[in-house]
Amino acid sequence: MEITCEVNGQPVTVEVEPHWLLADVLRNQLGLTGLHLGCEYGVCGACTVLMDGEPVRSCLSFASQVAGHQITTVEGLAVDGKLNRVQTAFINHHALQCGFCTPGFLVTGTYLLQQGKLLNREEIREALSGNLCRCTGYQQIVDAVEEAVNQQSANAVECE
Amino acid sequence: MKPAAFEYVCPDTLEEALSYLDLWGDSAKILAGGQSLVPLLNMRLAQPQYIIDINRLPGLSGITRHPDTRTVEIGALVRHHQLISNPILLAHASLLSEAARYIGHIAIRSRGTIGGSIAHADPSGELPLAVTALRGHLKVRSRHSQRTIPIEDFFGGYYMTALEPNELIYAVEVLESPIRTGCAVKEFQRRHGDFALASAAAAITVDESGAVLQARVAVGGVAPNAVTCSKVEEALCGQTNNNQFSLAAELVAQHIDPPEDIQASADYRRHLAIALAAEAIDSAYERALWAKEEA
Ligand SMILES: Cc1cc2nc3c(=O)[nH]c(=O)nc-3n(C[C@H](O)[C@H](O)[C@H](O)COP(=O)(O)OP(=O)(O)OC[C@H]3O[C@@H](n4cnc5c(N)ncnc54)[C@H](O)[C@@H]3O)c2cc1C
Ligand code: FES
Ligand code: FES
Repeated sequence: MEITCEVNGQPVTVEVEPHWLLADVLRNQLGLTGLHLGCEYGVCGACTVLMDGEPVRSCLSFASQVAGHQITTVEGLAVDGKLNRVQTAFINHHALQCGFCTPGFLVTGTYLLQQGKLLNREEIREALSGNLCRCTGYQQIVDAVEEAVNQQSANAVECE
Repeated sequence: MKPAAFEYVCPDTLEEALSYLDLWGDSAKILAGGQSLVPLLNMRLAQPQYIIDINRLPGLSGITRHPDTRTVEIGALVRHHQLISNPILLAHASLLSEAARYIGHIAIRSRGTIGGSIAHADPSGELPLAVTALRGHLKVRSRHSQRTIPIEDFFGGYYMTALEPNELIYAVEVLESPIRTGCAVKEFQRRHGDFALASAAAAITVDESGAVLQARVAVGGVAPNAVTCSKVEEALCGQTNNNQFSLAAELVAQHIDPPEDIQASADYRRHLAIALAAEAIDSAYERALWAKEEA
């Protein structure tokens, strides 16, 4: 079957089998290999993408289901080649080692950023609890997201 | 792993979905949020021939209050994250909002639905627990018939329900909580977002003097399905202090005979169920007192 959706701001039409996972179509048909498949049953979070702005597991959706929806992958987070706040904070805080989990954390972190709310450390830990990392021990990841989210919210409060 | 091939339909009307279901019965699976079904498909623990995607059905995503019957109706496709913040639920059936906060993680809550969670019938599911505590009803349709199933008649053992192969849940209905009601859910899990080893839900209503007028208590994870604890509820009526609440919570033991597995012994699960019920009751009571102050 043929589906049309929007991926990282671009309209895309692609031929898929109904049982193909969204994750596989993004990686294999569309070449967006940023997202990773760690577990394929919803637990690790490495395949997280935004669907209409909400974080979802691309290993638990079929590509056939996203016709007419907007998908954002890690490749779509930078704007005009400029890394977003979460991405920059990851670099500053050394929030990755092997990088396997990173796309999922960046997508989840960007979702939090887009909510525009001040979050305490506990709330950030809760929000990131659906993403597993085998390398870093999480502290730098939480530090990075905390800085990105709260910097942005602080700026927004000042502007008001 | 990857799912086996299947035929996929995504109907636009409930009637169309029900006719597919009627035609294909057991060889089809309804796909709602996919957060329980797709893991099973990926691991090939389920290999249905047909998938009926209900995500585009209209009229299943609303939360409506019916003041005449004092009920709240929640469409089967309402997502877990909507339950958490919906103002009608927060005001009139906040046990569901409390319960939904404990489900998995944000990316699970953004897709998972109440209908899917009830139909999946996980013994540790928070929504089955909350709807059981509230003595909710499931509104079910097939192509030619319609019925309302009380939740106490719905679950039939681990992952089993009273649904016929051609039936679909289209809504969940609960009675509005009376004024001066407080609700709480407590659970124990090894890691944040995991399924609970044991859980408890309580909705406590107090009278004008602050004594318990009505109690709703259920425990989860300690039996094939969530269990209502009527002895605890009766013992709570008229009480005002925490010592009495703890004594009442002990009666949970009379309602359960927990299983033993690699994760926990039967005794440990029983201990958890009692302790969590006591905590849920304390915290629901405290909230009921706040609600009384506000009333
Ligand atoms: C990592 C992870 C963590 C999770 N943690 C928790 C947790 O802590 N607590 C918890 O309760 N759940 C948890 N879940 C499961 C989650 O809540 C699911 O959303 C829920 O169990 C099923 O809802 P769904 O809409 O995703 O249903 P689906 O997966 O689409 O369907 C589940 C089953 O219900 C049937 N079905 C769906 N809708 C209907 C309907 N309207 N009528 C009849 N049958 C229907 C399907 O055919 C299927 O058999 C977790 C899931 C994951 C992946
Ligand atoms: S691959 Fe999707 S959550 Fe692990
Ligand atoms: S950086 Fe290696 S898994 Fe997170």
